Amino acid sequence: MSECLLQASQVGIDFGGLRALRGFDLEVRNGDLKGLIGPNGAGKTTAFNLLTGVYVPTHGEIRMCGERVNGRPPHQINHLGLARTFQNIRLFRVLSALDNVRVACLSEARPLFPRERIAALRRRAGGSSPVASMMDALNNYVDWWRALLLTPGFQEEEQEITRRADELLAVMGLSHRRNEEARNLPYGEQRRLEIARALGTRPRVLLLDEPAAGMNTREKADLMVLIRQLRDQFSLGILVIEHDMKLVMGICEDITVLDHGVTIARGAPEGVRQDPKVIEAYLGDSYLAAHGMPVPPSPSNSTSETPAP
Amino acid sequence: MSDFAQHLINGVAAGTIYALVALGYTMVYGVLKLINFAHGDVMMVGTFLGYGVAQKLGYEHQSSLWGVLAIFLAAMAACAVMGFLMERFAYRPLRDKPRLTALITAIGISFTLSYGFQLDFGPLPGAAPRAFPEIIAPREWLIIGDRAVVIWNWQVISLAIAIGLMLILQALVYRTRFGRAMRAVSFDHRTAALMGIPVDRIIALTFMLGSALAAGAGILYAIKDTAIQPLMGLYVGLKAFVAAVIGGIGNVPGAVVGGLLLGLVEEFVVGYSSSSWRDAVAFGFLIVVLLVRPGGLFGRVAAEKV
Repeated sequence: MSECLLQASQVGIDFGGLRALRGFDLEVRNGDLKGLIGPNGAGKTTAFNLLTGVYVPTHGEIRMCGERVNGRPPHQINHLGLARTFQNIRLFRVLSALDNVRVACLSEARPLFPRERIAALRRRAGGSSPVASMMDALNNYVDWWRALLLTPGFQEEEQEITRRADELLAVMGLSHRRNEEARNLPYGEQRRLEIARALGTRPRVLLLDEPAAGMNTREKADLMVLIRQLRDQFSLGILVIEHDMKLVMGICEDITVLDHGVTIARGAPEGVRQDPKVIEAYLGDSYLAAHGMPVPPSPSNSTSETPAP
Repeated sequence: MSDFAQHLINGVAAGTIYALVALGYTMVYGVLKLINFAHGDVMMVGTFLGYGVAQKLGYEHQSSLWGVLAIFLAAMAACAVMGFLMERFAYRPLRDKPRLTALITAIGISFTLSYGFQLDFGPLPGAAPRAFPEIIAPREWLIIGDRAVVIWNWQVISLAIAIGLMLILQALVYRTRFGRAMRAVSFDHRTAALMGIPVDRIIALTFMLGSALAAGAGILYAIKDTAIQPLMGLYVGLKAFVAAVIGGIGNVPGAVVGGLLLGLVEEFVVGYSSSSWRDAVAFGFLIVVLLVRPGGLFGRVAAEKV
């Protein structure tokens, strides 16, 4: 079995009194294609936000490539190889398609202090090390000042970045939109551009937040093929949030189902599809009762209201 | 006609200085949505640092090519460091606080600097104006007609330096990785962070860049006006802020156009009516522009999509 890239164990977060997610476990390995589903408000996007460092978990631990990343800033977590897309498209709308991808292509620069050394220092210190942070800061400043002063090596790097961004646009079938502002692209293409941008950061794990939202049947079918292709071509682990059951069941090998912040089911698509708890979460227990299926007890923390008469 | 040409030249000379300072306002606003009211005072500090370096160099060296270069580079580098410190210790801790907090802090820094520099150091204490040394010995560069239009060498050199700085900035913002990152941060810093951009550092560098430009502008201002004093930052800073708003705050070419327009308007008012009308007309011009184009000349008005 390949090395575990992204690992969440017993992760939870409270917003004030509301526990938006609790006891969340997840493992993504190289080559995995996993799904995360659940009704609206179940905590799927919250889980993504926790994994990518937008929120700091109040419980549990998240590890990326073996490193504990709780509380690390999002850009550092991204540098460890975790990239994502967004449920509501969040492109840099005023930048061209090419620039959207180029912005993300930062990892080309040859740093003053090798990244492995900084990572090793952090690992040894068990999280954050002042020396590592100093080296990282110096790296960044030297790097940015090289850009400011336009040193000779810099031009070369710019060309390399542009070449790679063009490649990614080609993979996502967006070469014809290269110089158009992102906001002028049709919806489906904006979604693909977000994926291209995420790939620019050279991820090892890719999180896709409802990649098929707003796409028509045909685009969805293409997307399914594309997601598989990306996993193989870039040797990624992929985690997908998706509402479209056909898409999730079609491509994911393992599905986690959330409801009210609690994991209610996990496993292969067929098993999950027949799990009464999942059916109840999606369709309500009246559906189960009507079809003569057993009604499971509701999740412990759900503030289940009395059903309307 | 010759009057007109002369005012045009003087107006452009004044306008480029406003433009350089306005660039700092607009870049910081772009990445942080903060009006850094201390920016004008950074310019003042840059001018005083240049003054200090010129004093140290002495009369012999201060007007040599290397002397002038040293004055500019020292002031710009020191102000870049100051910009960094200001961002790191004054604004960064307030990043997630209500925007008003940072605004008040900016005003606080502004007053600290403009009154702090009145403390008793240097040969002339207090608010008294200091005579900035003639680091570029004035010479007539071009005389047209019977001294109807005179272009001074310092005007040409100032303009060349200002345009050079703007071109460098333009190249940085639109042709480099740093610039792309800056535009991305300015558009949406949360998403930028998730795409691996070290947002804090981009913001710090933006401050450093803006402050260095302000220092350069300050010295150009001192060459033009020859008198410098600790409160100059409040005044020039306010004008440059107006220029940035006229151009559309957050917009880099807008700041340049706004600065030039403001410089020209002021110069023509002074030339054709009276200097006491200058500020009234400058701010009147701002009001007119905002009435016609609320987002500034180059700004986009965010239309709410419903």
